[in-house]
Amino acid sequence: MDESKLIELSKKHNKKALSILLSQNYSIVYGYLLKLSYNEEVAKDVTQETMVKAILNIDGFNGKSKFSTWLIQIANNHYLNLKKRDKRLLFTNADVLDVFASDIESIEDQYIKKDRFIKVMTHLKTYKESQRMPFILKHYYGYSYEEIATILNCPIGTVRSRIHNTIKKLQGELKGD
Amino acid sequence: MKTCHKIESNILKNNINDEILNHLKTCDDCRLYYELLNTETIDSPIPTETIDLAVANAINNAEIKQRKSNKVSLIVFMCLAAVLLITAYAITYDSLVIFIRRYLLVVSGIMPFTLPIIGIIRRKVVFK
Repeated sequence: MDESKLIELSKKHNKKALSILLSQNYSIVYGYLLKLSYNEEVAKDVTQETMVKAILNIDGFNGKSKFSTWLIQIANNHYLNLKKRDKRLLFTNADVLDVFASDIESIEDQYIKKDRFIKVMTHLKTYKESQRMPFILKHYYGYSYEEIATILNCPIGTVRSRIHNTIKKLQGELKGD
Repeated sequence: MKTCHKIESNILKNNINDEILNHLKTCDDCRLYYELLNTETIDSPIPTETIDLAVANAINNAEIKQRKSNKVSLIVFMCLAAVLLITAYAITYDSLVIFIRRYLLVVSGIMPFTLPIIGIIRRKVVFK
């Protein structure tokens, strides 16, 4: 069953369709939040809240973007709101890189990917959210500039320049490693 | 360096051509830029059971929130309806009171002047 059909059924309060739809997008939201927060507990909580919000507001989804884009948008807003009041988010967990790394071990080309990934994520940790978010969405999830602009609610030009600046900064730091 | 800047700009705009591809083979900086801009999937699949459990929890929590929200809406609606009804009743009642008060005021104000007139009329009627 395709996504639009699942969305249509979910809007009619079909639990099975809703469950399939959310299951299909769970990994993307969780993975994105894990990379953003460096904290498994926070990533799980925010993903859960994102899913709840999506279920409650599914009638408001207009279908102009992909469902995952809409979910990431909710997750992003929720994460930023939470960051203002939750002290857990001030402390990032270095061990989370091992969680990522152990995930990567099953993938081909593992060593290079793992090494690059850990280096990139270690540097990204020190960057502001406004720099980290567009880069993660572009590099790890392949979202287009337009989609990232929708998610972050900012102009496409801003997204492009933020990604460019982040890459340039990373480029310099990776060369120094 | 100027060429690299131009190449980066084209990579950013996704205008990749043979010239850029050839440049990428020789320039490490631009290759790194290209690699960092392009998608690299690293998410490993999460066990289905974990996802199912999380989604089921989310649906359950959403239902509880929805029920709570429905209850709150009902209470708000009932309170609002009661307030509106009381207000409407008070306005009606108050208007009636105001009407009666004004009527009495007018009557009591006019009455002293009307009495002689009524008397004259009565007298006229009597005389007739």
